[in-house]
Formats: sequence, structure tokens, C-alpha cells
Amino acid sequence: MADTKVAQMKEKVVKEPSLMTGAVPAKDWWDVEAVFKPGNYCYPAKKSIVEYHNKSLPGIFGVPREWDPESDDWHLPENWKEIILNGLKERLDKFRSLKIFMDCCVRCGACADKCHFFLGTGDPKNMPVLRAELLRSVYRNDFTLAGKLLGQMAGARPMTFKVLKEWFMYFYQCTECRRCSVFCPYGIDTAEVTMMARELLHLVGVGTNWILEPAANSNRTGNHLGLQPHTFKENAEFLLDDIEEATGVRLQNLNFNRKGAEVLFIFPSADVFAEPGIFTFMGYLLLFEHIGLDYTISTYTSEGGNFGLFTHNSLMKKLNAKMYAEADRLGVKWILGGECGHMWRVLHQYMDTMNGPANFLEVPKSPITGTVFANAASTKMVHISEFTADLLHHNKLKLDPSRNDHRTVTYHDSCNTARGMGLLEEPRHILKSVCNNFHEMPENTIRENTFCCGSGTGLNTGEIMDLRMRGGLPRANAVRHVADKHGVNMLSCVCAIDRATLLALNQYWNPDVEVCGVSELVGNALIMEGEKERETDLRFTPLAGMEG
Amino acid sequence: MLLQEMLIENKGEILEVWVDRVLATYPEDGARIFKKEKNQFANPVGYAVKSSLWEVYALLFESETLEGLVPALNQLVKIRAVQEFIPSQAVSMAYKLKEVVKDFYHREKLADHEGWLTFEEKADILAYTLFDLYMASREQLHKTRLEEYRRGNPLLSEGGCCPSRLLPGNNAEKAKTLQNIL
Repeated sequence: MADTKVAQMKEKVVKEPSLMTGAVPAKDWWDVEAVFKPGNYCYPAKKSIVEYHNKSLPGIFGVPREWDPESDDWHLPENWKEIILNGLKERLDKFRSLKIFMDCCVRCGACADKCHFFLGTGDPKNMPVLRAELLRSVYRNDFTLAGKLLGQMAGARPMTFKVLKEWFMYFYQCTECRRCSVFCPYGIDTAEVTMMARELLHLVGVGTNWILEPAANSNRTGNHLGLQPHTFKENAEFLLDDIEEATGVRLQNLNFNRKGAEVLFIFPSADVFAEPGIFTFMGYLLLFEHIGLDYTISTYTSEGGNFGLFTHNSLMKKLNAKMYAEADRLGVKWILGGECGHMWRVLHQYMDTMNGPANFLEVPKSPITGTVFANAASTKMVHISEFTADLLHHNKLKLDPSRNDHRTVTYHDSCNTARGMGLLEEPRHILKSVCNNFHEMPENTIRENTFCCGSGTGLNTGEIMDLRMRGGLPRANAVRHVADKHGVNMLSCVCAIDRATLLALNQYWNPDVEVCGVSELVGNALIMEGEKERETDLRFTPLAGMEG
Repeated sequence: MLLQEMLIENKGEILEVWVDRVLATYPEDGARIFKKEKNQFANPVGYAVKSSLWEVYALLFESETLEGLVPALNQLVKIRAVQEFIPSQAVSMAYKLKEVVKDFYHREKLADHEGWLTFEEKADILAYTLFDLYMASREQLHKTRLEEYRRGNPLLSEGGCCPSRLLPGNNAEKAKTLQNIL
């Protein structure tokens, strides 16, 4: 006879609620409640930050207050449901795509196993179809006849606090990477569903500090960290010393806020203050010196990143607009953009509708090769990889790729540049020109199929490190494969958030693989006029054969 | 029949049940996909569970040595250490193996007491190894988080200091600033 006590104890161990969202739910998905525990949510936005945003964009970020996701009282406004439903109605009327996405899903399941968060967690609410269903169920309830008549039978449910909690949990486990949309036969862009849901959450004051504070800093001083102009300039200039030490060349071309320059160069601010971005920045400067580019950097628009994208389209528009206001003020001909992720997503997909076309600028034309970038005819902004690949195509760069021989490199397609703007070949062309050892990750993990770093859309914060490691598992798994098979020790990318988050991802999953920007490897390989014999790369690691 | 012989004879069947039970620790809809998809890059969790358990089984019951047990388990434990499990669930693979083998032991009506003791010893080694790897993974996760702090990540939202303190080379100041935040 079985020992009852043992049976009870076993039961308890298995059924005890998990530390996170409650493992192994045995109920229907909408009966499973989202449970917030330390480690599975981003910290709420500070009151002072929401107050700041409310000054220029009133009503969009809700009532400033202190609140705790773990509590059952989020101090929501009394009419919060009305705000959400009105907000949803407004968006359904305004954005035809949202209306279509709400109506046309046939639940074929093609997207179900394509999300990195689903693959890392096994949680059905991370299947893109079900994530969208969190919003769709409310849409059906209040905006469709079938939902109004049949309720739950038609997949409809009213907006409740439980639903709101689910939204905060799962729309912040989506990095808007759009991998699922590649597989959807109807082209439903779940990223845009997430964007709408996050807008609705912000309307009732449910937002995260990691997103809203950098956005506030960016609005106030020009960059995420809030670096003031003199500090930004000093930081960038400090890197000239490092460049000189590594190459023997003192660059003369770094300049700021110079009116009349041909090109305004905008890049993610992390590239002037954080490793490994600073090495990418050194690569940019070496390239510009090498070709004699007439460029300037602005301390006012000193941030490529646009955290507005993760909050509300008005804030995204505002942050994007300052780039163009500055280009206008400085009187440049066109804009060159650095290795940034969502800056390009905003630019490629939304800029033209929000702030474009930028007719006061000229269609970008490379002063070195004469190539006209017709793809940027409206936005007037060219990606540094497009620009560099064109220089290589015209043999305008003197290179010694053996200076990267101590690196065996692979390339991570950043979601925003790969799926958001179709930048697939240019970085590869560059890498194959400046490195002798380059290996691709498996086909179903790169290019359009690339897996997210797991920390995009403002999820790159420390308090959810477990979650980030789960979300980044599919990417790390592919890196691990090429590290084992080809000895890859450097993961290159063209996104600042990637450069920061892949570092943490690799530290956990693949500790022997470092992370770099593509331009850093260009900087290593460039043969500069008057240079000394190179013994190290830009991060002072000895070159192959120079180890002794 | 001796237990060891039974473990070899029924290897495929036992492993199938063991893999199923480990996958059953995930939500049902997730487990179904983890079980079905064969591509290791399209299904890192399912692949890690299956490949790891097969390798471990061979080491425990078909090999002269247990060398290779840690590499065989490492990726699987790393995965489970960051998933939504309480610790006992995360490392439950050894106990699940015991359950499965016990079921087969009864089904085949074995009476191999000595064999069972040997098996149990091996299952215990597996349990200890899993526990050690789990703790190492959590430790690594903690270090990863700490390193990110040290790189200055929190200054984006928990600043309150002059960013000029971050100037490269100003390490003493930087350390002091970070110390205040940590």
C-alpha cells in the first residue's frame, strides 16, 4: 500500500506554485493568472519621470504615481477601463492595420513556435497567436457583434484587472522583433499588436522605468544617459587617445555641431561611453579619417536610439524629429546613421509618415564613390554598413584583414535592421572583406529568420535577467553551435542594444565568445596613413602572432 | 532478468518515457511542440532534453566510466536554471528516472535487489551532479547580472550621479559611483 504521507509530499513539491508565473498550468489559458514576482517584471516608471513626460505629452503616460506590480492595487484611475476601451477604439479607427490584425487571424499556428520567448519558456501565452489573443479577446467583446452576442463562446472576454495584468506580463515578453510575422501567411505583424497594447497600458500609467527614463533623458539632453554636451564631447575625445595608442595615428577630424558639414553622423550614445560600443566608435572615426569624410556629430541629437518606439507613437515621433531639426539647423546635405537597431526601424517604417519626407535635405550621395543612395531618397539617411559596403565595392579602402586573424567571427542579424529594413548583405560583404575567418550561424537563425537577442524593446534591464536569458536562448544556442564547430570567438552585430545585451547573454551561455560592432573590425583592418606597426587591435588585444 | 539487462533491453522505451516526463514539466502546449520539432535550432529546449538524457543514459548504464556526465548535462541544466521552475523541479530529472525505472521494474516483475541498489547509486550520482550544475548556473547568472551593473548599465535609470564620472580612465570615481548604486 502506498504511503499516504509520501504521496502528499510528492504532490506538494510538484504543485507548489513556481517562482515565476506559475509553472505547468492545468487550466485554460485565460483562467491562468499572471503572477508578478521579483525577477519577472520590469520596475514601474518613477513618478517624477512620468510627470516630466506629461509636461510635453499630456495624457499619454497616465497619472504619475508610485505603484507596485506585485500588489493587487495598482492605483489605477477609477475610469481606467473606459480609458483603455476608448484608446482601443481610437486606434482601431486610426490604424487600419490594427483592425485587420484583430480580424484576420485564422489561428493556423504557423507563428506558434517562432517566438524566441516561447521557445525559451514553453509558455503558451508567448506564442504570438496567443499573445495577440490577449488583446483580440477584449476587442471581440466590445467591438464585434459575435463577441457581444456570444461572449466567451466567440472568444470574447471583458476588460478586467486580470486581463490588464496579463497584458503587462506578456506584452513585455515580446521584443517586437517581428520573427513571427515572417511566418504568418496573412502578414500579421504581432509587433504592432504589442505596440498598440503598450500604448494602451501607458494611457493608464502602466509603464516601465527602464524605457521611460532613458526616453526622458533623450528628450532633455539628447541621449539616453543624459550626458550633457561637454561630457559627451569629452568622452568621445578621450577615445582619440586610445586610437592613437593602438594605431600610432592622432585623428584630426573629430568635430561637433559644425554648421555646413556635408554629413551629420548620428549613432547610439552607448558607443561613446560603454564597452564594447566604444570600439565600434573608434572604427567609425578611423573610417571617416581614412576617406576624408566631411562630417559632424551633434551633441543635441546625440542618440540614435528611440525608446519612444516602445511607448507611444507621439514620443517616437518627437524623438525622431529632433534628428531632422538638427540636420536642418546645421545645414548638412544628408544624414549618416551608425550601428543602431531600432533607430533604423523607426526610420525605415515610420519616419516618412511621422516627420517626412525630409525635402530640405539632399538625396544622399557618397562623396567618395559618387553612388546615389536612391533607397534613402525620402528619409535622406544612410546606414553606415550601406556606406562602407559601397566604399569596399569601389575599392576605396586600404585593408589588412589579417589584423582580425585572432578573431573567428560570426554575424548576428539585428532584428530591426534585418527584418525592419532588409539590411542583410551589406554587413556580410564588409565582414568578408575585413576578416579572414567568418562563419555563418545555421540558416534558420540568421537573415530574415534571425533570432532576437532577447532583450530588445527596453527589456535590457538587470531586474529581469532570468527572463532575458530564456528569451535569448535560441540565439545563444546557434552561437554555441558555431563556437563548437568553427571555434567562433567573436559575435559581431550592428545594434547597440545587441552589443550590450549579447555580452550578458554570452557570459551566461557562451563565456568564450566576445561581442563587437562590425565597424570595430573595419577599424582594425584599415591601413591608416602614418600608422605604426600594429601590435594590438582597438581593444588592446594582441594581434595573431604578436601574443609574446 | 537482471535490472541492468532490462535497462539495456528496454533502452528506447525507457528513454521515451523519461524524455516525456521531463517535457511534461512544461505547460502542455509548450511540451507538445518541444516534443515534435526535431531541428535543434528551431527547438533548443526539446533538443537539449532529448540529446542530454540519451547521452546520460548511455553513460550511466552502457559505459565503464561516468566521465562526460557534466558536459552531457550542462546545457540542459543551464536552460532549466533560468526557466520558470522552483529548484526541485529544475533538477527533477534524476527523480523522474527513478520513477520510470521503478515502473519498468514492476512491469517486468524483476527481483534484483542488488541491481536496484547499484541503479539507485547511479541515480544519486546523477542527482548530485544536477544539483551542483544548477547552483553553478545560478551563480553564473548572478555574475552576469553583476558584470552588467559594473559596465554601468543601471546608470541609464538609477543614476543620480554626474555622468562625467564615467569618463574612461576615471576608474576610482567610476567604482565609487557604482558602489553607491549597488
